Amino acid sequence: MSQQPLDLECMERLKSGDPRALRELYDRYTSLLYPVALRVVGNPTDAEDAVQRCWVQAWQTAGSYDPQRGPVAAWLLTMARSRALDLARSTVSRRRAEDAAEQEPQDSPPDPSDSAERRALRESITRALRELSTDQRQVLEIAYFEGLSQSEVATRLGAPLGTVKSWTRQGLERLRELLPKQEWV
Amino acid sequence: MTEDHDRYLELAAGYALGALDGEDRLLFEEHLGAGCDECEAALADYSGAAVMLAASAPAAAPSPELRARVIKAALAARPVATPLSSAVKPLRPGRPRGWIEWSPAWAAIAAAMAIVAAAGWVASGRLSKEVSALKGQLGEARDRIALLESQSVQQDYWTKVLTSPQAKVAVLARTPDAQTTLEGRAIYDPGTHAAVVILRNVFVPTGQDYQLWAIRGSTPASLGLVHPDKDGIAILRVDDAGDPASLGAFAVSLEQQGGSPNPAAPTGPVVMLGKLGG
Repeated sequence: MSQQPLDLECMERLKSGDPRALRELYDRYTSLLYPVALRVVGNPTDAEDAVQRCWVQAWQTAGSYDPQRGPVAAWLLTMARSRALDLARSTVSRRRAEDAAEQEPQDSPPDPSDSAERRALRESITRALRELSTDQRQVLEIAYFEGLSQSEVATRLGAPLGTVKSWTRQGLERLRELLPKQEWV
Repeated sequence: MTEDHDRYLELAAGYALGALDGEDRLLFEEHLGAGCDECEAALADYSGAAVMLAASAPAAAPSPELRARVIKAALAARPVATPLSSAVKPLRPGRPRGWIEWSPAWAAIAAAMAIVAAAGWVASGRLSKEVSALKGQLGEARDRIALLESQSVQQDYWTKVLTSPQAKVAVLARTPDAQTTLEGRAIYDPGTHAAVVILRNVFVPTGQDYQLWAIRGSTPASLGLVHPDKDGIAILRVDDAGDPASLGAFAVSLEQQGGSPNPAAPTGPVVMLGKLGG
């Protein structure tokens, strides 16, 4: 599953300012990053903006990437989610997301780079999430995709803070059991 | 496993999601900073599981034009100088590297420090350009050159403080007297005795002021008033925070406007306190 050896070679070229390395990584990972950004901001305009900011950041700070801290995919995902949360907190983005929600639901455009391997991974994660209790799944998804703190999640769900903390831990523990480490991104 | 430690494992899960509230986050960071292999391992595992959440988002593709826009924007962007991005690392020497490095909490602190370093870098670049231009002129321009060169030297100095391999960090934790959401860290260089203190969420009550103190032995020494910007961020550069043999902690007190009437000790309540660590 891991593309890490290929990625490391790419990162070395990215650090030296080779734009071909950026194109290569873009082609490999945008299909992973864009859905996360879209889920966070709720509209394609800001999702593309977040992904663009993520790649510019990757280009500018490639020198700070340290493989000992984790795989390239996780480094990119962290940046994409953070940039998307930045945008989601802005008023303009919230308005766009509301407009998008008011429109007739449409199927997502097909993603030509969505590999069979990635589809299988998504299905296994979706299955694992279904194994969690509704409460556990909700706290994980709200915290990750909406960027709310645990006290904000507790207020949203009308649950005690201590309970939210327990659900968070139980949910991640369960995911960890259900998803073998070799499948991690 | 004790009930107390179980609580930290619970915090590790929230930390992996970047969802801990300020107080919990500081508590967990202090625990990690003190060295806990079990929590480090749990955090790495929880973070890996949290990242997997990302892959559960429904498949979707951006417009084909995005690729060209990204490449164009990246090539137009100025690369961030590597020495700056690596500048933060020596501040916590010997600390195990893991997922925490990318967690929002550390990212926020790193960002705060990067702002300081980047401000110096940007200012230095701009100043040296201005200095070159002004050098071709005569008369009153000479005074301006001297001023800019002095500022440039100062920026270099503070960047060196932040990047000193001997630098020590103090996490400023709120005391029970704190009525605020204040957060803060101090970075102290024992070589030069200089310190940079970064405070966030500083919103000064009307008619009052926050005051920074160095605790030397059991004796406080005022390091000045805290003046935050409009976003509630205050970065204080202290030329001499004290001798490393006696400097044990930094503190913040809430005083009447203008600071403590007693110059030798806080008069108001101490709202933040942080002991210097390694």
